[in-house]
Amino acid sequence: MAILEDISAFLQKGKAKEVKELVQQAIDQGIPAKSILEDGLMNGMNIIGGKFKRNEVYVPEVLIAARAMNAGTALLKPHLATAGVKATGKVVLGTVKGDLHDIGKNLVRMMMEGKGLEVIDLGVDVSAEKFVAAVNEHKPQIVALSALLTTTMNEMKTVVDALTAAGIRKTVKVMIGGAPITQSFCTSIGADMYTSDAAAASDGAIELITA
Amino acid sequence: MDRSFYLNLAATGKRLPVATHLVLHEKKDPEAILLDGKRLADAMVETARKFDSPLALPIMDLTLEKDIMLRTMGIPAADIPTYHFHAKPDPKLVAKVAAMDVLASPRIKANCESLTHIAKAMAAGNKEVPIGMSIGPFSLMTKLMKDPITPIFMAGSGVAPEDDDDVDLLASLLDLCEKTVHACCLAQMKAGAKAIFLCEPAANLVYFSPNQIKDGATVYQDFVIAPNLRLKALFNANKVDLIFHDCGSLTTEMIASFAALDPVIISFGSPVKLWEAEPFVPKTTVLYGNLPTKKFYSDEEVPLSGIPDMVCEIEDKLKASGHPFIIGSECDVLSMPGYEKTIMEKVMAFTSCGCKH
Repeated sequence: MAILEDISAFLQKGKAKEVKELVQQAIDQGIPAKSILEDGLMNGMNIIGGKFKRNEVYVPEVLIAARAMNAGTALLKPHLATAGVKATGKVVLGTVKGDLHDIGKNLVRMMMEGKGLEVIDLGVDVSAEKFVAAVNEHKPQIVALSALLTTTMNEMKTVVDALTAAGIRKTVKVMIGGAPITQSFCTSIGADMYTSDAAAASDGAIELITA
Repeated sequence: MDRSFYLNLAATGKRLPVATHLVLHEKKDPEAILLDGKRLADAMVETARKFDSPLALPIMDLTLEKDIMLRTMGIPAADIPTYHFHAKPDPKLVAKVAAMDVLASPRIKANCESLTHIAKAMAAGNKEVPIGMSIGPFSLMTKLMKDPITPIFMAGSGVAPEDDDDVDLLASLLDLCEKTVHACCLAQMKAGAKAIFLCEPAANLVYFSPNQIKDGATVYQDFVIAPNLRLKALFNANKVDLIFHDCGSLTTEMIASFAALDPVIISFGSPVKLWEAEPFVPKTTVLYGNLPTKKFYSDEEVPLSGIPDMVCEIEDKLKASGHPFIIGSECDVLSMPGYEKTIMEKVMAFTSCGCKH
């Protein structure tokens, strides 16, 4: 449908106002909310994600596109609920204790939301206790941890250990990422997946949920 | 210092890490030392001597400037690390920042005292040169907004401050940050710094889209380079040298813009290949860096045995270019609990290994 292609195209350009107007028009035309979400908004976000992976666009373009997606999603939410459309999965996300960096985490959130995942963003400087409490409250399939500093990355192990101590480690997959993180570090702390960038993290989350 | 000091240092072929954090954390009370100018000076000098360097480098802690700025504005200490502005600050508070005494910060006071100790020792014949440290105005601004990237992009799309609150806020905060960085640098200059390591780690591809710059947007010049040029004028007026550092991913245009600040040393992180940056930097500026020290903790990513090859690659390619260079770290080499020995071994390896080629 042309209107869904337009939604996708305007989203890729970060035109929030136009995306919002078109989403409203699509709703008014009786197009199913699920189709507007998947074939319009998520389609546009996935295209931007691919371009980001190929270095054709950069972080600012992704943020602007995500802002446009949020504008459209806000209109769609009540219609999705009425239609019984559920998120692909649920992720609890945060930057670990002692670390205030949030750009990488925010990108991961946007990319994951672009894949239809519901993301509970706990913010920055998040303690292991808060991650455990969030898992107990929200029952996610994935806990995603971010750290930018070598001085804070060990906190990821603290979170993994806290999930184990709370008896809920087996209920979630733990993903980790950030500038100093490596696959070997991931293995050494008992996390389930390391990804090197936000686009890979969103793909990885889908892979873990659908496995 | 005379520029030839840095060029001659490069010509000696010395390899120098930014490693005071590593040495400091070998002590039993590093937190106490950070508040004690004399002991901090001792740690800086000890680090310089450990690596046979004349540069007494400080800790690269880029949180101090935000801390003193917000304390001056009356923000509670506990809120400072995560504090973001959502509206333009009151002009009275801006005036307070412009007139603030940065030595009210115990950490900045200790840093300045350490510089004075080293400067006095230098005047008495010691070879160590006191080097200051500061975050740059742009990078400081990015710590004050929840989302600085969107207004930067909007400004680059032609949205003026008067047309958008966030673009207006960004411009206003950048001005506040420039005042803060001027005050912090000036205090270090008065304390005896002969050069200052000015860090703009946020001036990179995360915050700026090269697509937008290619299309003619001047945001990079307006938000990064212009404030730093004004800061450079302060350095020049006080006869203090600029060591410029950015460890982010950069385009060659960004590198050339930094080089136009005419630093005595320019330091990049491992995302930049020094030999590719070299054509965009004048040979009067020493290239510094940029072994992947952030991953030195990992034997899989950076095995000890692989370090000589990394050193040789940089040395060979830069020697061929004829550009003065110093092999070093990509940032402050941070001490990491549980990995101290591994990291120090690799630092010692890169500073001492021979090049077979």
